[in-house]
Amino acid sequence: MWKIILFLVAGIAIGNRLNLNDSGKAVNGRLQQIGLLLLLLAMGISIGLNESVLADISSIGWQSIAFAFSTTFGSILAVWLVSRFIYKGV
Amino acid sequence: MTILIFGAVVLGILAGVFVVPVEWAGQLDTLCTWLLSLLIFSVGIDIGANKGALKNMREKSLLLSGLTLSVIIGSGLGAIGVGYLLGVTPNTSLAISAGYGWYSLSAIILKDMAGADVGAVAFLTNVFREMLAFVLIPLLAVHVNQYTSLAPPGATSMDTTLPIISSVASEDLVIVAFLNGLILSTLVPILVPFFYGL
Repeated sequence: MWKIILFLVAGIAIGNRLNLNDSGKAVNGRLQQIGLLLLLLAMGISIGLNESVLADISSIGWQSIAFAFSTTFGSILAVWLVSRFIYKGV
Repeated sequence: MTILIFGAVVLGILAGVFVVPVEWAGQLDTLCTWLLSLLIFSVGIDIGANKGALKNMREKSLLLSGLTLSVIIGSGLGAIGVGYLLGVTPNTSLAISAGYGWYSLSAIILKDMAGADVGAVAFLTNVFREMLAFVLIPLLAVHVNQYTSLAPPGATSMDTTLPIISSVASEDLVIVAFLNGLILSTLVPILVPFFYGL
């Protein structure tokens, strides 16, 4: 967790000093997208390699999928209600 | 972007199952950690380049508290509802919901307290939650609103899903998302045992 905070704060400090123009920001955004896809690919491979995940999926997979969907959609509904009725127009 | 994100995850899983040798797992985790650190650095540059991003913190703290509380309440109620249908007790369902996508920690805590089965459900639930977040964040940002797109990731919005949020939401909300993830991550080791002990 500390590593993440360190890298974020370092990025903010450098981003603040650099005074990037629009094309610099666009390059940064593009690199982010490419890096993100590489990360997701690598994370997917990690999940695929993890035999215990695959073994667990066959036994308790449906239960876990039900919990994952219900917690995710419960959160979406709650946040949507807040965005609709409390902080209108965010 | 949604299709690319979904494609990258699915392609990765298939490659992991069928192509990539198991011995690579260690190096892959190191690669993931470094890629993530570089991405977070790049997200930081985005935020730093936006001079307004760290202003209006009072307004942002309102957005933040509304978001974090809604995620805790929405996740909990959703889990209790599905738990009722599956015959899982409300305290166990709540504890599973309180992983907020941080699968490694919530699974370890529940394995100790509730046994291997509940630990495994917590693990997979939160793995799936993170994967759902990858796909739902861009969809919600486009079709509902940016604020609602911060709901699915839970604790992961401070790390793995932050780059996705940064690619679809305004810099102002990226800060809110990061702090939301930080608070939820801090709460995981507190709320999981608390809910289970109810």
